[in-house]
Amino acid sequence: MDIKEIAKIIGIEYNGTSFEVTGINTLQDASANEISFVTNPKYFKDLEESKAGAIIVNQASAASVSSNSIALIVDEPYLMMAILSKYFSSPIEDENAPKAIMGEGTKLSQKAEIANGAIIGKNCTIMAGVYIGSECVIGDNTILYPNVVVYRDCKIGSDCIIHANTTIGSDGFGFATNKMGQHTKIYQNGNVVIEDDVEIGSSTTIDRAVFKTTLIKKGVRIDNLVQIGHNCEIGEYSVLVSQTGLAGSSKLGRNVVMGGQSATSGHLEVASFNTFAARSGITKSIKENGGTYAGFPLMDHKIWLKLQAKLARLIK
Amino acid sequence: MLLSFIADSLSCKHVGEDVEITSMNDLSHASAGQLSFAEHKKYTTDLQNSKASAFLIPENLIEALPKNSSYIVCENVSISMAYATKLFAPRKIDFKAPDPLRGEGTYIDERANIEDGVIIGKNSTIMAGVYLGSHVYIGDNTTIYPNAVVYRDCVVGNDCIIHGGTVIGADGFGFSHTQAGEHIKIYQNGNVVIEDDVEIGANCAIDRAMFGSTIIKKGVKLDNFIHIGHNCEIGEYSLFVAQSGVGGSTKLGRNCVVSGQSAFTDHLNIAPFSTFTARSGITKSIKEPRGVWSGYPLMPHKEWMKLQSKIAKLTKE
Repeated sequence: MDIKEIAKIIGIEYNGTSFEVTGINTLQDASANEISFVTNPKYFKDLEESKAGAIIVNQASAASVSSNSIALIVDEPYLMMAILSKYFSSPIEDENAPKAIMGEGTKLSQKAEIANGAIIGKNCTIMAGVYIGSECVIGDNTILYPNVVVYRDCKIGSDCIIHANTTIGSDGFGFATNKMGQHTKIYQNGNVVIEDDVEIGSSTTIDRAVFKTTLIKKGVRIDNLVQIGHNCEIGEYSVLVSQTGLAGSSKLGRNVVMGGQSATSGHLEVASFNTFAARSGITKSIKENGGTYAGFPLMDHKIWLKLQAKLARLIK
Repeated sequence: MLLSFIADSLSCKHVGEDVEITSMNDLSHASAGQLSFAEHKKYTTDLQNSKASAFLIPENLIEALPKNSSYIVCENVSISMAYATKLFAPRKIDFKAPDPLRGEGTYIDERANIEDGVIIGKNSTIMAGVYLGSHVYIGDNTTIYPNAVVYRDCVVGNDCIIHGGTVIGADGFGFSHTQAGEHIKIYQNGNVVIEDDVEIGANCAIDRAMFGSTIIKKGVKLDNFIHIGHNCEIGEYSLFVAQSGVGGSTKLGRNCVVSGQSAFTDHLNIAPFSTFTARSGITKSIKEPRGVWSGYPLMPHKEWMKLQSKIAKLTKE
């Protein structure tokens, strides 16, 4: 889409040179033919280094945009980004894509639906009611139990087991709220990548990234009814017990263990080999490896035990 | 399969008679023809009383075995046990099973998928997108709403209602862990048994047992989004409100009431007629019936009320 057309959609005048815009991305990752945006003052520092072709900004931050990028100045940059995201979303299914390809020895139920453009490896088992979207790639020896749904563009590695009714790649929960309190959808144009040897329980949901990828690394084990928000990254061999939830963009290191019903808020980083007791509520990043935590607000597990003992004394 | 074959696949040696093994089980439930396992000395008594035909054990438990036992000595019993379960895992779909049977008056939507070996009773309704795995048994007058999935070998009784998106009999969450931090799958070769007059809400997950059965007894009602771990037993007429969960092998007595977002850890025994208010976190067994409980850590509901009023005062200081 031409930059001039984009300017028209977001309601500003643009008389500069024309160029083709291929997508929207973050300040850090955007290339010269992508546009980016900034609203959170926390990210103003990234403006100077951004390689984005154009950046949607408000008046206050316009001056910080470097000479590499064109500043598109609007009142509500986040809302305009949301409006534009729709123009860069892929069609739900791609009828022009080539027919799906399937490796030797793969068993496909007649009641499964494989969209055009999908590629499935060798010796997989795809059971009834499974849906695999356009351009998905699935490795070898992977099992998809009945009614598993994999939205378009997602990738699943080899030797994975995905249990029934789990949904991979549905839209992340992202909206821009206008001054009237109404919510405009931010189209989630990224995907989900699941590496090799991952097992995922039933009725779990892993949301697709807004840009780029929600990543589940090698050897991870996820129980039933777990929610993983968009743009999360789960480190190798981590274990997520039932009913756990991760809000968007949180990153876990390797071998992190999250007990049942525990949860993280968004945009935080947890170092490797940390363990969280059931119902832990993690709201801050954890930089040290190998700790054991509990409670909400979160604290060291030993301190949590002491606190509980003190609370018990309160009622005596 | 012969014990020697199992030993070979684990790259271990067997000792004693080369017995025929049909399946695996834990020490206390194992019967003749089954392979069991013990890792620690604390299981010495169970080991001596076990009726299993053969055992996976570490070297230091050889002396604790019943006389003339057949056994395989392993360096790491839990890892070997996990690998052994794979040998007994049935195929995902049994293509050799007889055609499915359906009783009079039963409706099956064309878009449901019924594998061979399934038996469905009379006047049941199986809606679109439902999957019933090989050898599943469904009783009379039972309704299964769209996209519910019942894995192979599971049993659902009469007069049950299973709502959309619920999964019955997916693998329990069981792994053996290597020193390098990798997780080796323990194949879950048991099933789920749901007795009569049970209602299960939408998007629930009831895992199949590792050995034996996960059991939901007569008259139990589950709300939406409930997780029941492998080998649990939920007593008659118990009620679960939305988003509650039960860890593996926990047993509840009859008429328990579990309110929203409550959860139990694994391997507990809960006395009948226990009530848990919303968000209770149950980490210890409860022996006295008819208690009302709250909080996490759990306490009697009256104490929890007192504690909350004290905490409220604390914030005013």
